[in-house]
Amino acid sequence: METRHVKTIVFSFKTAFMFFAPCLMLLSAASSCRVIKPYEKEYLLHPIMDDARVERLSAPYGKSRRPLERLAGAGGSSGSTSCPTCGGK
Amino acid sequence: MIGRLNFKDITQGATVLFCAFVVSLFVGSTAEVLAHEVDQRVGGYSSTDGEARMMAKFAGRAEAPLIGDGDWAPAVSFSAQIERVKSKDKYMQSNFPLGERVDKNFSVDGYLTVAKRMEVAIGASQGGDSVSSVASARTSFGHWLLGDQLRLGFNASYSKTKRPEDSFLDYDSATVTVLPNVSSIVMGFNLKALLNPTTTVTGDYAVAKSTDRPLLRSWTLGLKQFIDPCHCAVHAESGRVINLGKLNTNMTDGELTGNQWSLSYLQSLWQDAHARISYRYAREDEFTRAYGDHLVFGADSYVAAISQEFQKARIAGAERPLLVDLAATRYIDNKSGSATTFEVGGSVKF
Repeated sequence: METRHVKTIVFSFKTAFMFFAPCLMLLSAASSCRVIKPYEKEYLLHPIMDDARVERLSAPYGKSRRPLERLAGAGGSSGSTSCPTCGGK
Repeated sequence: MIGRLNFKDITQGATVLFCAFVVSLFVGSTAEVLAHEVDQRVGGYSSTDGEARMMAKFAGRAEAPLIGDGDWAPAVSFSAQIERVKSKDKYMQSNFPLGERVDKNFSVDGYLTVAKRMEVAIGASQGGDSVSSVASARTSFGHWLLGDQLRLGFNASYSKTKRPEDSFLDYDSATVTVLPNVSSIVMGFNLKALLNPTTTVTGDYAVAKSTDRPLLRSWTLGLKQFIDPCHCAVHAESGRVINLGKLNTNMTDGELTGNQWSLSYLQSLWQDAHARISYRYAREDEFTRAYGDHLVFGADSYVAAISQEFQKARIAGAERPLLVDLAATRYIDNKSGSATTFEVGGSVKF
């Protein structure tokens, strides 16, 4: 018989992280917005900022194997390159 | 750990990889007319509940000649993956008495990039084992706006799953039946904003309608920050999925709410080498159909990965760019225990 009541592993620092991380992301996004000149996109084209290269560093096989998470990947998301001139790679 | 995979698994995985490598060299040496890329990947998975997997994947992407004044850039990609699975779970016990099965997945996608700013994609995939199968079709559209500083995208997909009919007695003595045919539609919007020379923000919203689940909605918000002094970057992501609604005896899970948070640190090492370490926490809350019990599931996962690009590797008689990456993940949850994966990937551009 499957155990019905599963002990949570949620800790207080995680709860704090869960709340503050989205807030920090929104605040930093709102405060740093400005028009970028084409020659200023050097950093955004760096491999550690590019979706395709970062995906290779994200352990795609490991990401596909999360046995407990029934909602993992649900809805899907479509990433794209930081570089509009790279042909969508 | 990975040591539970026996010699037979490893030799089979290595054989598939070798065959894929030979095919890639053949394709590479005979199809010089198209710029293309071949990508191979092998991985192993082992968990404390006795499940072991071994995967080999072969993928390729070819870019067709530009059309018109070069504004139209078509491309096509495909992938094939084979995975050997050993497990003792209920699905395996019912359908694979020997405790082993092989999963196969194939997919093909076509892309069209217009004026380097508009991207259209359409694709299909088929996968499964000898008992169950999943077929899906998908399309997506994206366009860069506001001086290439904001990208808006739309994606939709349809999938159909066939599996053995199954039933079991729930805690309230109701018989829950697993539907043998399930179809689902997913539609979503996404955006990417380049906020300043070092900051990118991403967002996703999607809705999924399935014949065996209540309506599902998901949101994701991501931030990528490049830090120039150390040539490093920090990526953070937060997401929420809601799968609430009326449940019936064709639904094996209760009402679900999922949240996830991840934080990654990426560092440029020596020339053309990059590393990433990442932590991710995911939590799912379930309210069961039978008595509305509240169950909480939590999972921590850690990733360490490194990639190295060789600009002039000697492959198939010529010097070509080669990208190699290694990754390891550790997954720990509060129900089934822990799991470890290792994977190695290689990509060559012809």
